[in-house]
Amino acid sequence: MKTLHRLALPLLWIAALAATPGCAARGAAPSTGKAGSMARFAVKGSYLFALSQRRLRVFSLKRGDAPRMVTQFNVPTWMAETLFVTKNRLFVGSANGMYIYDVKTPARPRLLGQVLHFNSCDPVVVQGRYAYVTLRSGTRCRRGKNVLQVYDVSDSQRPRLLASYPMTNPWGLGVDGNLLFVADGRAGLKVFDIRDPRRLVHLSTHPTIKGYDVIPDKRILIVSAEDGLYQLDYRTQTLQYLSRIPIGNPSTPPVKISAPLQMVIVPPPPPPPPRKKIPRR
Amino acid sequence: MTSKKHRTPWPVPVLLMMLASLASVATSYRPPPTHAPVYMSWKAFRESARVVPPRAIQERGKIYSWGRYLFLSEPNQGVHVFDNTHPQAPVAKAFIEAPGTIDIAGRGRYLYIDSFVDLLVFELTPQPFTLRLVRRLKDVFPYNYRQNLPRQETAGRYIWPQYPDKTKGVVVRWKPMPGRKP
Repeated sequence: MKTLHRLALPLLWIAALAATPGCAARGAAPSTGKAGSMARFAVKGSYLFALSQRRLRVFSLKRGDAPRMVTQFNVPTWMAETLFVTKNRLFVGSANGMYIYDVKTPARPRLLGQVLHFNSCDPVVVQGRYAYVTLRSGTRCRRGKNVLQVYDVSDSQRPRLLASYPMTNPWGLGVDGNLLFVADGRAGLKVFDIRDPRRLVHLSTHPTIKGYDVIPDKRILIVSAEDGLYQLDYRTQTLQYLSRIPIGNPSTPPVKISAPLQMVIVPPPPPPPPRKKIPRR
Repeated sequence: MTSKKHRTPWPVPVLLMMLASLASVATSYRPPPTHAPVYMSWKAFRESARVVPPRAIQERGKIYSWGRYLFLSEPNQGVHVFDNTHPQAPVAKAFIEAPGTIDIAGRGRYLYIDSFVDLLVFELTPQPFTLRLVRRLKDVFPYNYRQNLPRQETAGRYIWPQYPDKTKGVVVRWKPMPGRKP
């Protein structure tokens, strides 16, 4: 009977670990997932940020099964679209700019700085001191331009535009280590080397993958594209095709990828065009 | 004497009236709608979210990677759930039928998705795989009837919806109106 008692506690512990769908290796701390750059939901600690149109709502997830709205406020724009959260900052991509909030105390976000551009849609991803933004023209934002921009956001109050690269029709993007992945609409999936953020090196383009959103997660690139949910391995310097879950009319034949997608090093593009002045407030 | 002092010159009211009539004419014009709303009553909507066996994906949406699971939201239809332990062979586990879904987030063992104006909380247990609705937070988001309008890119034409009647329910689908050429 005593041994049973002695066993019970570790067993309970193991059961609790197994009940956490995230990495059990990370221990009992509640784990969260990785969203694509198009997300309007973001989780930080025990808080959920939810964006709709221009209103940002903060939910407390202290009781996971019963979220409670703790605050809500308007982002100073008319159409906010994406959220990206880092350790203590929240980046809001909107149709007229990027807004940076301090979320050290998630229940009380504080606006730190902003970058304004005009009439574009822009998901944003951040790694270290750099933010990567794609601006896309189309439907709601038809007057916009199609570019990939790199900002230095080490100073939240004063984000600095470092470089701007022309794109076809970029949607989501993802960054991991030295690589930046951009789902450039009809043009396909583009891979960049970002070791020098002022001068990105275009490594390759995969025109068959017409992506919408991307997640680079633990060396696996997940792409939500028009014709399927692709998974590619970027562990080595080659981009290896792993799988595709078909999307759309099943009668249309799937796009065949016979050979693994090789990353071909192409010469870097000509230096970016002269920087346009970004109005700041 | 004071009344004389404050008298406005005659062209001001006349011009104001002209401006008002012009403005009303300019704003009253509505092109004939191209799409009519198909409603789901609020009562049916509140009972609509459920977990069903996996099914084919019709349209791409946002993705969410969470531990060994991969989620794909099919805009305004629901969420496809995959076991992605082996990325070279993901296994479809379930489909969460939830009208008006766009976004996904997860924490701990709970999955949060939006369903038009509501926030849904699902509990996920991996072994054995179960997914069940544990809570619905009602009316936490604003209702945006435009969120499930057909995309102009895929429809390939101009879209002008008939303004929906919110009392009839939530618009789950838009059907093209007859008598209108694409």
